[in-house]
Formats: sequence, structure tokens, C-alpha cells
Amino acid sequence: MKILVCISKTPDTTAKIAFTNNNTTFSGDGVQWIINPYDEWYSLVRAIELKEKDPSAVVHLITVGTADTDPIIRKALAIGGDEAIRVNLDSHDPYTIAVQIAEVARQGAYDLVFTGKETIDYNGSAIGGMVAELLDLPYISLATKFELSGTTATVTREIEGGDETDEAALPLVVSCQKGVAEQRIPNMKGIMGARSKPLKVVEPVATEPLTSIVSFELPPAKAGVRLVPADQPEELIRLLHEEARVF
Amino acid sequence: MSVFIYIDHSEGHVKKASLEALSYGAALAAQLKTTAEGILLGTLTTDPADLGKYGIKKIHHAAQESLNALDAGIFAKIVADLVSAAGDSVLVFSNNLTGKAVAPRVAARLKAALVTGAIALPDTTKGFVVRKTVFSGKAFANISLNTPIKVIALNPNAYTVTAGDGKAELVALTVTPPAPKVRVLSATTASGHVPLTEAELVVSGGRGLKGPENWGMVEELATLLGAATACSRPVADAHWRPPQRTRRPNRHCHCTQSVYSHRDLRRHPAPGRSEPEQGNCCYQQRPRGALL
Repeated sequence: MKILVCISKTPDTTAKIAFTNNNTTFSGDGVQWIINPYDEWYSLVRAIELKEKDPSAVVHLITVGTADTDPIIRKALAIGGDEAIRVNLDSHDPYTIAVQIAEVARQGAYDLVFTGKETIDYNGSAIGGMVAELLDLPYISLATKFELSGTTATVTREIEGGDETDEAALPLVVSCQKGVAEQRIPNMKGIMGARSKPLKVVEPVATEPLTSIVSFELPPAKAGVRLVPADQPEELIRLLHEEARVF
Repeated sequence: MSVFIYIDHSEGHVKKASLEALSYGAALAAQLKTTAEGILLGTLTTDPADLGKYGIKKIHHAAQESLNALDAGIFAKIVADLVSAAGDSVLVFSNNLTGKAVAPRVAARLKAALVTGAIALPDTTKGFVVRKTVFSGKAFANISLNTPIKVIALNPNAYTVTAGDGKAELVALTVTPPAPKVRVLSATTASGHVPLTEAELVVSGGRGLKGPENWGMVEELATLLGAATACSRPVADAHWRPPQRTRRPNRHCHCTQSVYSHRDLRRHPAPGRSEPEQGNCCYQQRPRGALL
């Protein structure tokens, strides 16, 4: 079985959000970059667990990015995975990214493609669905549990107010979120081994972006906090009713 | 140019987020000086024509019960075939769980520009630019959609439902769906609670409540207000709350208003203010447009 895990580089969750070039570009000054948590904690770990259960399985990682994403890829390889593929392209257009991943997936004839639920920077949640459509594969989004028996996957996914359990045959695309796996910390053996694992760089296939970022904006300053003593619930009720108008 | 709105439903009822998408689509159609049309796959317990009160003139309806269960691939094909036949179009989804599964597939199939997480009507003065939240709600991005067919996934609670009078014309949509590649084995939903993804109002708590045994006051307040409950990340990680019913709002929904416990507000103190004293209760009204 061949598994392809999509990995993204994102700013750390505590990074200060600022923009440059007349608010058209995210400012990376002082930013610590991490593996997108949904990719690292859930997609990648689940793929590794599947490989641990079936040592003949192969796990490849894929990133669409320029050379500055290589340290992130090595961190991911330190957690697990047999090799990585980087498509040498800088893009924020979801269709463009999906085309690159789909091309690699098609050439590699992967049985399973894992993505994270979304990236924590652009919150698109689009790549998994687009890749599935480009490959004409079934797609199960927002999985909270993934089990495999032979070539049949049983996936629990989130629905409004509950869960749904689905079944689908491989090949399959799945987006993962909390519940699919537990975060792993890379050990020293993994860190040392990551240095020698193959990291192939491929050139992108030609495609035109369908969207473009015109500008970014920061939200207005938050309103101040109002403190209400605990022995004055009637004041809280009055504020909720007259000012916040929640009822 | 046409405006189509995908109508999402569950157990025969149109989801609130979809009513928002209908209202948004109707407003967009008015802005573009065209009409809004709905796309409904599956069956409702009420007359779909009644959805005309949300401003849509026509509903393309494939009334097969087999389409009540989501198969994103099948749904994407049906929707894409209809929209592509209409030429230049804007297709509106809710960015809810169904929209996240179907909208990207439709966009890829049509090679259409897609923006997910939209929070406002497009600016069509210079092209077609849609505002969305990014960096988990810490910023906004203005995205230009550069294709003849455009797909917008509207964040839940980002647009007010606007209902008036009127009936929509029902147009039968004849489809022959293939066998689904995804089979639904079972579904479980919690009853008696407002799903977080559908909530307009959320009551949230944090570790200041000391333990799950004290959560009753949060639930009681939520029940009185008709709100959903949520919790801070440490509380969720400590398993004080069931993960389905209580989750940090910024994971899923764009809520216009929230009420927080004082412990939550320690994590986001207002500039110049000291941390609240123990025993105080805080409330903070968030400005509309900020993803919580």
C-alpha cells in the first residue's frame, strides 16, 4: 500500500500576524515556521501507524513550496515517512496546489492520500476535495477516526451535531482532524534518520492560478472587557439584554 | 451571469447556514442584476417552493431520496453539470461541513476560482473580490476570483437570514446518480443541543470553572439564551466536555456574539486591564467580522 501525506509549512500559532508590500504579502520577519498541525498531528501520524501495522506500506510526504520549506519537510520525515517530494512552486491558489499534488499522486499510483483538515494560515479546507476530484477518487472530509481492513476504509467523520461512519474502497482521499491520531514527538533516531531520507524536488506542471490575493487586512481593535462582580448577576443580565442584546 | 445557491439540508430540514447562503445569494444576484436560483438534491419535509421567501426565483430540484446521504463526488458532478450549462455563473455554498466537502470538488471539476470562508458580499467595482478570514481569524484577505465561473463558500453566521414573501418555481432536475463510492454505515447526532456550527450565540467556559462538575451553570445559561456551549482548548484537551458539543468556536463557526468565563478572558486580556479578580464574571462583545 502506498500512502501520500500532504504537508504544509505554516506560521507558528503564536506568530504575530503582519503584512508588507502594501499589505499584499505576509511578513515572515521573526516568524517561526512549523508543520501545519493538522498535517503533523493527524495525517502524518495516522499514516505512520498504518505503516507500523503493515511494514510493507510505503509513506511518502509531499509539499508544494520553495526550498525554504525543506527544514519543515525534514521535521516531518523525523516523525516518520520513507521519503519526501517537494514540488518547487510558491503558490497560494488552492487549485494550483491541488493540480501539483494530483499529478504526483497520479504518477505514483497512491492508494491513500491524507491531508489535514485545513492549514492554519489560509484556512482553505479545499485541497483534499480538489485533489479527489482531479483524481476522480472518493473523498471523505473531516475524519475523526480512520480504520483500514484490506482495501476497505471505515472512516468516522464529523457532521453537524454528531458523527457519521462511512465506508469506502481504496484508493481514497481523506482529510484528517483531531481524533484520527495522537501527536507524536520525533525521537533522536527519527531526527538522525531524517537527514538521509530522500527528498526529491520536482518541477511543477503548468497551470494558471484561478485566484489571487489582492490585499490583507487586520481586524479592528477588540472592545474592552467589562468586569461584573460575581454577586451582581442582575447587572450581568442587564448588560446581556440591553447592550449585548443576546436575548 | 447567473447566481446559484446549493441548498444543504438534514433530516428533511434546510440547515440554518444554508438559509444564510440563500439570503447571501439573493443579495448577490440583486447586486449583479440577475436572479438567484437554488440547487436542491434530495427531499424536504416541507414544500421547497417556500424557500422563495429568501429571495430565490427558481429551484432546480432532484427529488430522489438516495440523494439525502452525502456523496461529495456525486453531488459535485450534478451541481457542476447544471452550472456549466448556464455559462458564466456564481455558485454559493455554505462553508459548513457539507460545503467543505462538495464546493472544492465542484470548483476543481469546473476549473472555477474558489474562495472558502467568505464573510461578505463580493466587491464587484474592480473585478470580483471576496473577503474572507485567514490566519484562524486574526486577519482578513481580499481574494480576486479570476474565472468565468466562481465558487463562494460563505462562513456560517457571516450573513443574516433575510426572509420575505414569495414562492420559488420548482424545476425538476433529472439525474441518474451512479452507485455511491462512499457508503454511509451509521450516523449519530446529539439531540436537545444547538450544534456549535449552527449557533448564533455561544456560551463558553474555561478552566476557571475548576472542573466538569461545575459546568452546569454554563449549560443553564446556554439553555436560557438558546445558545450553544463551547470551551477553551485546555478544557477540551482535559476531556471535561464531549468533543462534539463543545469545541473552541474558532474551529468551525463565525459567531457574532459570545459570553466568556473570566478564565477564558485571561487568555485574551484587553489592553491596559489587569486580569480579573477571582469570582468576577466577564463579558465581551466581539465586533462582527472577527472569527472567534
